[in-house]
Amino acid sequence: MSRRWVGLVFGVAFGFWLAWARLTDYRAIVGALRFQSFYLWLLFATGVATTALGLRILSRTGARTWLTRAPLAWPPVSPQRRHVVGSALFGVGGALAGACPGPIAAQIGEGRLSALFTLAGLLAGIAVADTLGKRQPLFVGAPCAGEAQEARG
Amino acid sequence: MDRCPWPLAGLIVGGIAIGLQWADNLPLGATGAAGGIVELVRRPGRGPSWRALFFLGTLLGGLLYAAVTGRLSLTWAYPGFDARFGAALATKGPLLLAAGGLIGFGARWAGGCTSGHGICGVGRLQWGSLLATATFVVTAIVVAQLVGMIGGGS
Repeated sequence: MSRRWVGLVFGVAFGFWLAWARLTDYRAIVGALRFQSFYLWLLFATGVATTALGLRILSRTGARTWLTRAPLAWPPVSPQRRHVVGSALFGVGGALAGACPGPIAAQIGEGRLSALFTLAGLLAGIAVADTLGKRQPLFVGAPCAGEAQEARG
Repeated sequence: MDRCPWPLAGLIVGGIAIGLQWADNLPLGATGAAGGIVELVRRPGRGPSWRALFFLGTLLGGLLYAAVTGRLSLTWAYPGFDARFGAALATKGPLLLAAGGLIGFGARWAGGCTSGHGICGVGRLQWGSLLATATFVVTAIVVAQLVGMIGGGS
């Protein structure tokens, strides 16, 4: 199993999950942002807690990665101005479209063709950011093992 | 299929973030995945990265759900959005294009979006991700409230 297969398989699970949780529905997203429903906030909190707890347990038990038997690692991300400015722009666009990058892809899969416009904007926005040199990795500092390997490959 | 109950939905997305980390120290993140598509378009010779395939997989996952539940149908309707901004493609298209542009540019600059910073980064206790998440959550709440006030109704 290669890294590409991992990406594809987890991507399919992610897209199925997004649609199942109705995160591809404008009304579900905007309803949460207007506090008409707390489903999204409860889901989000559970997801973060699960991730934090799972990673902590794996790290403590000395688990190693399936593909390369490397220790689990992720570098610290120090707060920077881009986290505020970039995220504010993202927040405006996300609230207007009622979607973020994951749901945009899943919406298209579901046959919601209006998301083709959102997708075109998404890809263009990323391309512009990359061209302007605004591309920032999620990780500041030393890349983790997986990231370094990808940069070479 | 009924909407996935939120405790299960939280466990699933956490499982995806943990699984990617466990598989190869990979970060969950839809913006990075979309970036993989942009890179594939720019340099097709290298073939798709795992990120590009994750994005393609996300699309296929939506398709799979729609097929399994018998909801699959092609439609330009965007329920909720249409009621607020109008269903005509001449207005809907440019608005969604612009919103998508803000999403892509902003999230790329910030280094992640709801999944990358919100779930993965915060779950990893990365402080930059926490700041990014707090920022986009508050901004999105404010904008959604403003749109609700201007638009009136529900």
